[in-house]
Amino acid sequence: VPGYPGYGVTIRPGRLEHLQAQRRASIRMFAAEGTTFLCILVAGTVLILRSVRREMELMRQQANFLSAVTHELKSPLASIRLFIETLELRDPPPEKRARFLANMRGDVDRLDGLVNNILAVARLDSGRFVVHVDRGDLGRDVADVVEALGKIPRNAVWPSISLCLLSPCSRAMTWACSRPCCATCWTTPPSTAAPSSRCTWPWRGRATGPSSKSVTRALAWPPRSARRSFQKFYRVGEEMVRQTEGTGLGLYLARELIRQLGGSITADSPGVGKGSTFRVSLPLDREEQA
Amino acid sequence: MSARILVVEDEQHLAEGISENLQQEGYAVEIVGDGESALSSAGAQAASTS
Repeated sequence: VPGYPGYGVTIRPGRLEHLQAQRRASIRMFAAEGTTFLCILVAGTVLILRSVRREMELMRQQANFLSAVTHELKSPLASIRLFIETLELRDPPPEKRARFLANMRGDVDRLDGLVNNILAVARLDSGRFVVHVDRGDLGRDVADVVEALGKIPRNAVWPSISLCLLSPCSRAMTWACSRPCCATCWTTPPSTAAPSSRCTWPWRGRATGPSSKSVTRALAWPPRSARRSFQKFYRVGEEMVRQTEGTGLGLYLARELIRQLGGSITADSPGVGKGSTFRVSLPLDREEQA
Repeated sequence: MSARILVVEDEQHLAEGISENLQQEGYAVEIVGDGESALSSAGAQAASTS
């Protein structure tokens, strides 16, 4: 025995085996308990991180909501007030009066759109928003979209918008194309959004596949932001230095409505200033598929 | 020569209304939509008058 010269320890063989078995059992127990505690620790850390991330996301949404809604409320109200006072004090000539009234109508429409979007989000989040699917006229709907796109003012942020419709359905396409499978595109500007054949986007779906349409816009974002662009109140960049109006609700609402119709929407962009593409796929009517 | 005012406003409607009122008051108005354009416009104006 170290420290006790002349002394030794003798263990009986049976006892030695018993001690060794106890030692192995202890090692197994510590290994199992250690692994269990490690797993619990890792799982707890992951849960805490996810919780913190969710909390940060909620804080970001709250900040964006306050900033965007405040701006989207204040600007049109300030504009309406300015034009009312101008009309009262200046007595402008008829053509200017008409332009001021048109501006005020645009501001009222903007406020109306904001309130409608917020109400729609509230109804979606509470599960009270139900889409009633009915048969529609694809040609008329697309014409409405083209008309609405044509009204968006063109500037450095929105230099051009293209809408492409792809469909395997001959009946739905008779208004634009006589072939059973084709792609028809409109590009604005020029101001008249007439169909053109510049876009050659081949249809690769089956004859019973979904109808699709795509809108490309000059707005763009970093590639990693593509998925986040569908989140509620998400807007690319710094909220305080916006160059575009909006609340960050449009794409969220679009995704939720398209999901309720059984379709999907994706977005991608090669980078800031290089445009972005949205692809919407909607299922065909059962009769059309037959 | 009338005084010149640089209006920096990113809302086109507001800028138009402000400009209309200032012009009625006899000012010459220039409108720009962001801070960078405002700085370059003011710089150009300062260079031309010096």
